[in-house]
Amino acid sequence: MYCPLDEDCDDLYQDIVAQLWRAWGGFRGEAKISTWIYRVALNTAISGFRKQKRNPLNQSVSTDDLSLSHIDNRAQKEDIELLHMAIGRLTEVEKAMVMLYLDEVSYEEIAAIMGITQNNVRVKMLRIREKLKKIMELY
Amino acid sequence: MDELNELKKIWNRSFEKEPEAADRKRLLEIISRKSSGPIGKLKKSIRIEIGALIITIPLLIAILFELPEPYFIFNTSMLILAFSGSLIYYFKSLRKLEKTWKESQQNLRQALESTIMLTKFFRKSYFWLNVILFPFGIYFGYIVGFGLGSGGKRVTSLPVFEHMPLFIAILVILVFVMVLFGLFWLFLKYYVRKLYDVHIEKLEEIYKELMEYE
Repeated sequence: MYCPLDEDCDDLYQDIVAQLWRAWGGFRGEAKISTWIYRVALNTAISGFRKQKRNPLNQSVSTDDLSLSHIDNRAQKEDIELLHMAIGRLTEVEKAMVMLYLDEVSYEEIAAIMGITQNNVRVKMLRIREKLKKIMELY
Repeated sequence: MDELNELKKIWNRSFEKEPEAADRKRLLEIISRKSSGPIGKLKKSIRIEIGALIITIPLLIAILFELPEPYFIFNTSMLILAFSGSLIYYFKSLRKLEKTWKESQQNLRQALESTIMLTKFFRKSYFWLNVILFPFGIYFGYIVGFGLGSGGKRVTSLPVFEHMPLFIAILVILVFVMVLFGLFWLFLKYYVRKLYDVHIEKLEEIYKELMEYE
């Protein structure tokens, strides 16, 4: 979602793995390991300056690269592609929040990962829901 | 939130496939590579400056032995002092960068705050340090350079301009230095903007969005 181009994705993946490796010493076990991984991954994806010229803020994500070979149902494949496309049209912060939500991360954990209050998470999620609805209705 | 729960099901379906495990060799390659993130880039810029200064300072010390006259010793020492000050400053900046970055990895808000703060700080100090060092370097470099060229003899007239009346020579040098300084200023502005300002603006936008409703 943060890198529409294949090579950018590979770069970002490598950056996140490298950052996880370097930051491992700082993991004190106070949060769940998944929360810690999300933190490092999001910090790297959002705060990183990489190939910005080729990755403008509102560029929609290509769904061609989604690995959906395990899904036979055509309608399901289209739903997934539509969802990924819709998320790709959100802002950086919105993308992060919706992906965390869809990954079953609680509001409390989302708030901790993003460094904001749970109320803020709730308000933002309401706005994201409206936005996603509008985007998906268009297609 | 029903629509979002429906989206959750769709989302989970796209990740039902078991992820492939990365092989050990590839992981080792990844963790040994240098970061391409913002702080990694800042560190790289500082290391380049440190490298350039580490080469320049011993060369200037060697010139001290080549030009033993007090006049040259003073001018060369001025250059060594200025460059040594910059070197110490860059070493301190590098340590500060590493320390602050490690402490800021708690959440996205803190990571954004410290990235913006560190990048702005470095951009500003990099710009002004170069602006101050440039005329200083030109002046002392001119004297030391001609001292070397004349085999260690003291420069009593203005080399190159010696056939001109002193007033005209000074005027020509002033215009030359001002034009050179202006060009350098413009280049530095462009370089710093291209390298950092665009990213800082984007990070500030993201931070503003994140902090909305706080």
